[in-house]
Amino acid sequence: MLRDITIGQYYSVPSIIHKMDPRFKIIASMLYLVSLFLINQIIAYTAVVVFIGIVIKLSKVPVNFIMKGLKPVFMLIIFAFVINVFLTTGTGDPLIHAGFIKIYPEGVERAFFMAIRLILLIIGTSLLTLTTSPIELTDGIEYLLSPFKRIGMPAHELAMMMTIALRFIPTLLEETDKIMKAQMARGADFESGNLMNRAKALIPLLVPLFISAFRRADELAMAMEARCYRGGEGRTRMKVLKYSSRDLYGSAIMIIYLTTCIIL
Amino acid sequence: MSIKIAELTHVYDKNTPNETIAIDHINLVIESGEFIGLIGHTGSGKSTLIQQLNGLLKPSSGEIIVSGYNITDGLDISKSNKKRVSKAESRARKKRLIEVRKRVGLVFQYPEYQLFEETIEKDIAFGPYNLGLQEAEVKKRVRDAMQTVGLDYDTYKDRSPFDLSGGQKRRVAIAGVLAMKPEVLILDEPTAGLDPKGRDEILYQIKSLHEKEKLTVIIVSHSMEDMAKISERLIVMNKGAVVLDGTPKDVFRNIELLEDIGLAVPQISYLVKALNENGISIDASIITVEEAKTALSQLLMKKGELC
Repeated sequence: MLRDITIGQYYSVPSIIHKMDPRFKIIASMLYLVSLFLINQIIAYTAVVVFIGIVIKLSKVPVNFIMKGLKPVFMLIIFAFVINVFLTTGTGDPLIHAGFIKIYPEGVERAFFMAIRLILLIIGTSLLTLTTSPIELTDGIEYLLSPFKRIGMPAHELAMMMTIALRFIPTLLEETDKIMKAQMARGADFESGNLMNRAKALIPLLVPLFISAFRRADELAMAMEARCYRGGEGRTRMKVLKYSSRDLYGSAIMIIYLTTCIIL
Repeated sequence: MSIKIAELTHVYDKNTPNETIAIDHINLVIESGEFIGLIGHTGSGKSTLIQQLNGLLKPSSGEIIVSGYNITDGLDISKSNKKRVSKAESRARKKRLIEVRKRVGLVFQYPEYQLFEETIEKDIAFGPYNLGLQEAEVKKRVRDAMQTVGLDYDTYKDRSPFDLSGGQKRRVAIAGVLAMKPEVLILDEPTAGLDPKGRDEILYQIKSLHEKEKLTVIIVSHSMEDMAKISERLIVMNKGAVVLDGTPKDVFRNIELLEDIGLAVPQISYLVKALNENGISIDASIITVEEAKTALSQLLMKKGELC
């Protein structure tokens, strides 16, 4: 039953976007997010749509795969749309006036922009996770955070924590499945009863799960220590991140994109 | 009570690129009171098969009938027809599953990781309570189960299961299943990760349980020596199908076939084979150390007389 859950929705295909430097991709998607909230012209949004379309095309990720990611937030988008339509007050005459409901043209416009913004925002960020493996992502974050080490930010430790957490998600899911089955074989029932009963039924699942998570953490710490791990100080890497010509092109395109956004 | 498996097939991740056939049209009949060893390479479908027997997995096709209860029919609540299953139906399904789990006890690999209660007594009582038994009966069953696995009730009942050694924890977990009084006991590698002493103790307890209570036992194992010693019938699985099924003596004759599928035969079988190849004729069906000892000493005695 837990087999269907996919976490870290990295879509592994060889493409230019996949091969780009994760640091560049992180910065680029941040700039992209900022640009989304700066612009408010319909023509600028067409530029954004064209831009993201090109990126999707280059990344070789199927469009409906990305659209599937939109499904869970669809309710949120609808909600934002409705709220904006009804609660924005404009200066002119309302479009529709029925009792206490007043819909102004500005409201419709704002709601429309809000929905598009949210959709583009989700597509943009999911493109980052779809084209960057979790390990690359944490590597990139570590590099980007390393200037803050001077003021005492433990960049390496944070990145290591993220890497380990990501690494153990599938392991713990498997473990949960196993314990669940073992308790079901002993007659435990996870599927019926009211809320109280269901919460109670989780105890036989959660206690062993926590114990095994702690045990695993202990063993991992021991194994790391046995291999002389002592934090980020002076540590070299197996995969050194390098800017390549690909990233230069990427930066050029990003600059063109940003200037277009600003001009429009 | 017998188990009948007919044309059982199980496919994981059907209709996805990762589709794998774990079990491929298996037909088996397991009679009441048999002691069965189930062996096979990793990924041969053993674990999938035993989970089917307990109703934890629903087969893709085929059926399993446990003493008259068809445990595969009507258990399907796939997403497409979820709405059609009425409350009464799902209750009937649950009832049937409880009936099956009363009869078929499944002990998973490393069962000590499923312990969760504060005391050993409470943990063992978890299963019986889930069957809806009264407190007095539960208490009696806990006491019996602890005795069967060799843990003294009065000494251990109030101790935390987490204070015990690995082998003791495993015995508590096995007792947790035994307390449900199953008619068929399935164990998935009950001796994995134990020291030789703990291993022998657990195997001995299972064997005596089988003899005393006429329990049907199915053991999944990787130890050919253990299986040669204790099982009465061996089922060998490879790539989701049953390739050999018979007494250990018959099965371990197929040295080449077993090695081909990544298994081995008991070391004694290799010795017997080597002796026969070198001109010392000895019964080729010998698979345990004890048998070999008697046969070889007889052979030596005869030689002694001749000289």
